[in-house]
Amino acid sequence: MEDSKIIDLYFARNEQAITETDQKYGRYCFTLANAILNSQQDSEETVNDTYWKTWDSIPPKRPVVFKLFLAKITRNLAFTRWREASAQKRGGGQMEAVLEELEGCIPATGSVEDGLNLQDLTAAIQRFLSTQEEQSRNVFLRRYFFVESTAEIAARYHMKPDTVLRTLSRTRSKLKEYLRKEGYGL
Amino acid sequence: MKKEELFLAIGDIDSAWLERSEMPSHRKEELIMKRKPTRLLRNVLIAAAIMTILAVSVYAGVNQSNIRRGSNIVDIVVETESNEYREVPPLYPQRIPEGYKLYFVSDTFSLQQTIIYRDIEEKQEIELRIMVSGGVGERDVSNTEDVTVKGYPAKLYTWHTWFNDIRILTWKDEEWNVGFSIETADPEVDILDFAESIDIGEPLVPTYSAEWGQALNEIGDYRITALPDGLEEARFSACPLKYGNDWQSYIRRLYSDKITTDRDILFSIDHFVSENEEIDPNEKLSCYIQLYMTNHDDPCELVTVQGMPGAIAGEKIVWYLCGDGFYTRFEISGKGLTPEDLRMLAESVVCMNDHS
Repeated sequence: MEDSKIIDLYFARNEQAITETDQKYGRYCFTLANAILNSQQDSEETVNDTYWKTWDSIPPKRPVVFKLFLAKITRNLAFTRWREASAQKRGGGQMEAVLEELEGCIPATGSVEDGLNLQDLTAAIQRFLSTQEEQSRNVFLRRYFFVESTAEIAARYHMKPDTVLRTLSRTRSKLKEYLRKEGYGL
Repeated sequence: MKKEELFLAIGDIDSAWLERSEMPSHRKEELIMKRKPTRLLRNVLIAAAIMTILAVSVYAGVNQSNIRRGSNIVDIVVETESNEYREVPPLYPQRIPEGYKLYFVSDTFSLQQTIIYRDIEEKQEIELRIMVSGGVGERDVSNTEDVTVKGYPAKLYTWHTWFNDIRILTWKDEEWNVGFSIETADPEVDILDFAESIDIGEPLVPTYSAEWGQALNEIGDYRITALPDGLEEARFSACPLKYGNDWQSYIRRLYSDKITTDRDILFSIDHFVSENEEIDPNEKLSCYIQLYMTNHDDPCELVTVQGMPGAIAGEKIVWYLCGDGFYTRFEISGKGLTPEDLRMLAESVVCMNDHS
C-alpha cells in the first residue's frame, strides 16, 4: 500500500493503518532498533512502541517521508531503551562503539552553555553535512543515524571496509573542527 | 555537550538526506561492470547475504508478534437500546481532588461528553466521560475489580501502558440512564470518591464555544435549507483552526425532531489546510471512497453537488470543495435517507455568511 494511503488510514483512525505499517516497514524498523539494542525481544517491543507513538502522532502530523518518520521514532525509542539497558550492564552491538566514536567529535574546548539546545545542535550538524561530499555524508549517516556496522556500510556502497573507516574518521575530524568553531564543546 | 546529546541531535537530521543515504552509490553499477569482485569484497557480500537471511528469519518471528501488548483486550461499552431523543444532563463531580482544576469541557454534540481535570503542575489528568450511548473503546487491561458506585455495579480496570498504569472506572447509572467512565494515571487520586461525588450542577460552558464564531468565519456558515417538516437544529459544534493544530477545523449540525432519533440528519463540514497549492477534489474523493470500500460492501455512486465532485455511499452523501492550500469535505447522513433525499438536501445547502 502506498504511504499516502497508509497515512490516510491514520487520519481516518482506522487501525488497519498499524497493520499496513507493520507489513511494509516492520522489518525496517526492527533492523534499526536491533542495530542499537542487539536484542530481539527489546527490538520487537520498540517496534510495537513505534506503532503506538505513530498512532498518537498522526494526525495532526502528516509525514512527508513516512519511512524516515518511523525511523526517527524507532531510533529515539531504541536509544532510550538502550540507555536503560546499559545502566544494568546489558547490551552489546554497535551502540557503544558509535557513542565512543561520536565522543571523539566533541571539541575539548568551547563555550559551555547551560541547557544545550538540541535543535541548534541539529542545525549545526546539518550545516556541516551540507558542506561534505555526498558519499562522506551518506557514510556518516549510515553509521551515526542508522547505527550500521562498517561492514554493512561497505556492502551497501560497494566500498572497502578500510575505506569506510577512513571516511568516517576524516568526517569526524572535520565535524569536531566545525563544532569547535560553532562554539560547542565539553 | 555529551556524546548522547550528539547522537540525539543527529536523529533529527533532514529526512531527505536520510532517504538519499538509502540509495546505493551512483557508482555501484559502474563498479559491478568494470571489475570482478576481489576475495575481500566477495567475503563482505557473503557476510551481507548471511545477515540478510538472519534478518528475514527474525522478521518472520516479529511478524507473528501481537501488535497489541498483552492478551486481555476489553471493549468497555455502555449499551442503550432506546431511540428516544435525549440531551446529556449537566453531570459532573462535586468534589475535585486537591491540586486539580477544571481544564477542558467538550460540547454535548455527540452522545458523549468529556470533562478533563488537570493538576496544577499539568502533569496528571482525570478524564470523565458521560455517555448516553457508546463506550470507552478497547483497552488492554491487566486487572479487573468489581466495585460499586452509588450502589450500582461498577468495574475498575487497570490498563498497563508502556509509560504508566491507567485506572479506568466504568458504571451505568440507572437513575439518570447514562454511563460513566473515569480514567486517570495518577495513583494518588481517590477515583471512587471522585465518582461518588457526581451530581447535577450548573451547566458547564464548553471550552471551544467562545470560538464557534471563528470557525464559522473560517469555514463558512453553511446550512441545509430544505429540511423535512418537523426537523430543527438540535445540536451544534464547531472547532476553529487554532484548536485543530492550525490544520483542521470543523462544523457539525444535528437536525432532529427532539422526540426520537429515527429521523436525525447530521451535517458535517471538515476543513483542512494543506501545503499544496493545487488540490484535486477528485483525488480526495477517490481516497474517501477507497477508505469507505474497505469497510463496506455497498457501492458508491459518483454524483455532482452544486458543481463539485461527490459521491453517495450508503445513507451518506459527501462532496469536496478545494482551493489553493485547502480542501473542505461536506457530509450529510441520516438513517433511512434515500439517494434522492440526500441529493435534495445537499443541493439545498447555502452559505449564510461571507467567510475567509
